[in-house]
This record gives sequence, C-alpha cells and structure tokens, in this order.
Amino acid sequence: MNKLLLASVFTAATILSGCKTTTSYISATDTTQNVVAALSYADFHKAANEMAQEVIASKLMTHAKADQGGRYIIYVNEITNDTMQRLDTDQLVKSLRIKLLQSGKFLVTTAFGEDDATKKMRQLKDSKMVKQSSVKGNNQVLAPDFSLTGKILQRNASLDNGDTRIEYYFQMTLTNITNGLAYWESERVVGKVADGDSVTW
Amino acid sequence: MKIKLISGVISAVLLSGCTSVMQKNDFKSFNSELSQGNYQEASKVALEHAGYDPEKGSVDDLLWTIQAGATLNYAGNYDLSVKLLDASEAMMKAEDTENIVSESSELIGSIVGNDAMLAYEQTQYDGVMANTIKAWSFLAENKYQDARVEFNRAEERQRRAAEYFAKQIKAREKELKEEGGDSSVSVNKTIESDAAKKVLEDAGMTANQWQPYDGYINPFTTYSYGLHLLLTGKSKSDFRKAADSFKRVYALTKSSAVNKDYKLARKLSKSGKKSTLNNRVWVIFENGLSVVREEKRLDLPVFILSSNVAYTGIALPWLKERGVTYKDISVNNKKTQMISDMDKIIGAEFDDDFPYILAREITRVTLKTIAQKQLKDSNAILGNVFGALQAVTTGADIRSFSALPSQYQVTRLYTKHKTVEIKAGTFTIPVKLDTSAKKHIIYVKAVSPMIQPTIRVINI
Repeated sequence: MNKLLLASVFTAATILSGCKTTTSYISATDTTQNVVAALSYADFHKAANEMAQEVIASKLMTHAKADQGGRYIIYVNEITNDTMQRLDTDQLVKSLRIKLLQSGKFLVTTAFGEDDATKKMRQLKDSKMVKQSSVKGNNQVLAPDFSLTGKILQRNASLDNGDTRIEYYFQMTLTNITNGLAYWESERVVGKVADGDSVTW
Repeated sequence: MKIKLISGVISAVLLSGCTSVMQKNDFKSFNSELSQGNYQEASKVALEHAGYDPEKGSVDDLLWTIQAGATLNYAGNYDLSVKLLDASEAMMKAEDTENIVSESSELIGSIVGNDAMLAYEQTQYDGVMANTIKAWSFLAENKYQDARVEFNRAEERQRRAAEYFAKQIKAREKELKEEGGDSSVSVNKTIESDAAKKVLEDAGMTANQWQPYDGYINPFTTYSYGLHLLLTGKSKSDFRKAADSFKRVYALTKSSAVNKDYKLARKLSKSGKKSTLNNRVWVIFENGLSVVREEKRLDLPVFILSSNVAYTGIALPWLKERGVTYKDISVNNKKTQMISDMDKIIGAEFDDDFPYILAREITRVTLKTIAQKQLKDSNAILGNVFGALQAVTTGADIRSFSALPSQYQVTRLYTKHKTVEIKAGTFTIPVKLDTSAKKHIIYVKAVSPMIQPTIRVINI
C-alpha cells in the first residue's frame, strides 16, 4: 500500500516537474526554435547579416580607390519603426554597422549627432590642464559619403483558420550624398504565423 | 448534503448581491469626480479599485486600470497613464486567451448569481481607446516614435474588431438558436413570447437603437492616426497613409475640416514639402461624457416547465446618456465639427451584446424560479427564504469604460499669431502657442458647462 502510494506520488511529482520550464541558455540567433510573434534578435541578426553581405558585395558601393585603402564613410540617418512593437531600431542597425565595419570597406561616422565627444573634446583647446598639442584640431573631421535610412514595417492579416499572419519588412537605403542617388536598396521580409485569439504584441 | 448545497447556493447568492451593489457605489464615486472635472481625484478612485500597488507597480482589475489610465491622461500624468494602460493590455491579452475551462466555470457561477460576478471582459472599443489614449500621451510628450507604435496598435485592434463583429454576428445567431440544457425550451419560449417582448418594449428596451460606423471603426482613432502621420511624417508614403485615413474619416463623417485635411495630406504626398504645414493649428475637442450602463428592473413573464408563467423580477443593463457639454466650441471663430460619436460606438457594441445578456438573465431567472418552486414544494420556509434571496441577487452588470467622452470634435486653422482664442459656452480662453514651434495641436476637454475646459497644447 505504502509502496504504491509512494510510487504514485513520485509519478505525480515527475509529471509536475516536467511541466515546469527550467531556465536555460538558447542560441539567440536560431530562427527555428523558441520563435515568438514579436521581432527577436534572431530576426534582426539574420536580416542585418544578409543585408551587410549585399552591401559589401555591391560594385557600386566599392570605393574607386579601394586598393589604396579608400573607404566610404556612412552616416546612419533615421530608421523609422512602423511596427506595433516598441523597439530600438539599433537592434537592426547595430548588427549591420558591425558587419560593414568588419569588412574593412566602410567607415561609420558618429560625429554628427551620435557621439558629441568629437565636438566637445575640441573645446579643450582653452584648458590649462590639457596638453595642447594633443587636442585635436580643426579641419580634420571627415564628412560622410553615404547616408543610411530605413524603415521597419509590420502588416497583420487574418487567415481563414483564425490565425494571424504577420509580416515584418526591413527596408534599407544607402544614398550617395554627393549626388542624392540611392546606390543600394534592400528589403527583407520576415513572415510568422501566430494564434489569432489575441493581439500579436 | 442538501443543506451543503443550499448553503453553497446561499453564499453565492449573497456574494453576487454584494458585488452588484458595491460596483454601483464604485462607479458612483468615480463618475461624480469625473463629471466635476476632478481628473486627479477620479484617477485616485480608479487606482484604488484597480488594486494599484505603487511599490510593485501592479494592478489586478482590468476595467479600473483602463479607467485610471484614461483619467491620469486627462490629469496630465502621462507616464503613469502609459504604464497602467500597458498593464491593461497585458490583462486584455490574458482575457482573450483565457482557456475554456475557467471561462465556463465563471459562467456557471454567474448563472447562480449574476453577470456582475464575472471577470470583466473588455469591449472592442476599450482596447482601441486604450491604445489611442496612450498614443496621445506620447504625442503630448513629443515621443513620436512611441506614438506611432500605439496608433499602429489601435488601427490593428480596429481591423480585428471588424472581423470579430462579422464572426460574432454569425456565431451568436447560431448559439442562441441551439442553446442546450433542460431549461432552454422555457427560456426560448420566454424570449419569443409576445408578453415578454411587450414588457421590454414598454421599458424602451428594443434592439438596434444604435448603428455602428461602417466597418465598426472609431473615426477619432483613424483621424488621430492620420493627423499624427501628417504632422510627424517623414516620407511621401507617410503622407499618403495620412491622406487615406482622412479619406476614410471624411466618408464616415462628411466633415469639411477633415476634407481639408485630406486635401492637404494629398498635396504633401505629392510634393513632400513639409513647410506647407507651418503656422497651422489643429483643435481636438473631447465633448461631454459617454453613455454608461445603468440597471433597469422589470417584471418579466417567465415560462417555467413549459406552461406555467410566473412574473419574476429581472435586472438588465441599459445605456443612459450623459450628453455633450456644448454643441461645439470655437477657436478664432472657427467652430469645431463632430467626427466621432463615442455614444454611437458604445451603443452599437452594446446592442450587439444585449440579446446575449437578456438570454443569460432569463436562463438565470428561469433556473432560480424552478429551484424555488421545487424547494417550496418540499419545504415552504426554505422556499420562501430562497425566494427572498433571489430578489437580493438580481442585479445587472453595469460595468463599463465610463471615463470616455460623448463626442470627439475637430477644427483647424491657419494663423501666424501665436495666441488664439477659444470660446466654449460662457468661457473665453486665450491660448498661447510656443513661438519656436511651427505646428500645434490644441487639445480641449469639457465635461460640464459649469467648469472651465482643460486645455493642453502640443507644439510640434
């Protein structure tokens, strides 16, 4: 009797513990497991990687004097978040920037709005404390050649079975600041299906 | 065993009686603060009922959380308003995805007691307005990206609502016809009887008094979405979207102000010249207080065991108008025009729900009357006690998002002067616009002609 009781308690405990999710590490870049209806790092990572490959491979985006170390300078302009999720657009842009920089073909300027140190540290030229020869002088900061803009869009639609089909569009453009022409454009679409009983955020 | 059952029923009965009375008191104190323009005080009442814990930042009641979110927005406390409405969205999601087991056990409980015992289930417009209010809070703080996300959510909820109503109408027609159980014959007989219909008609409770806007949309939400894109948009595609929104709202309202917005947005979608928007002022006017649910008590002829009829007291919710504050207001002599009748939106959804509420109340009253009769046959005293308790438990579910206005009105003007004059009833109010901004939205709210309207300016 006791044995039976013990066994059944044990079984119940096992079943119960089976229901509980234990915290574990996952691969943040895996797009096949632990999928969520919202945008996740896996989505941003994949889109940014593919787009970076395109830019790097683009002939139009190769500096005329690439052999002598010539590189284009990119200014990251605004990326619009047109989704139903509050997200930081840097989640997409950061991965892209990293890849572009790592390729050695591009440089990204942070001097205009992003990192004010470039400007601030020049004000040290009046400081008695600072060795003046080490203060960066004027006429040295480089203006960008290209501007990066983009948009993340979301469209939801209901399927016949009541589920919701979600489409996320990542759209990016690199504009040549010299002539105002788009030298590279790309779009990646991420599609997901989620339960339609409630909203997707 | 019998006694256990009876005491169980009695406690459920007492509880439900209490719930209904308590709810009425809660709404009374909240609505009274609201109607005097004491938004801060009203939000305190709402926060208390929402079970708000400021340390943990937690809440436990959906409806009161929405009410608190709305009134905090009126009081200008945008941060907390957004936090609470975020929490309300999480609760709405939980309610949407609630499993069938807990839903049906709730329903069984409510059959013994009343609908007021059920967990509050949000209406479609609750969700749409929660996102719309959040978006306006973000706009007021010049957080345009966040506002855009909320407007996208509000529009998505509207899309879902249209589908929900299309499905709902079909499903409910079927369900009401097929409703099972032993009492269903009696219930259907009651609902379809001429005598019952007459009682309802005499009380003025006839179906389809309100017609929804086409596609079940709230034109205010769509207008706000369009205005936001027009004023903060960056590309021609944004202005095109704005034009589409104004076009929809114009089709529904025929407002000449909206038509002008449509033409302006079209112009921008072609030229992309944002300077066209300079020196323009938009005025949004939240007028009065929305319809609310009140309890109506009726004696309805209820069929029991197919042939016997007993006149039994029932309680049903019905909408009571609280009305507008002014017909319109004027800004530099330009009158505001109605673009969204919130009463109509609430009414249409209520109309949709009412046959269901009625069927539930009649099922409840039929079951209780049958039980009372059977009890009385075996024990006269117990039967009478049960009868008295039945009267106590009868109560309508009067819960609704009562912080909303009756109407939304708008107007627009072009002015190079940075002071404009608003006339609302007996009040004349000069409003200063930020000289460093190029575009402005003046947001006016009036709940009573006795109190000066609240005005806030969003400088863009």
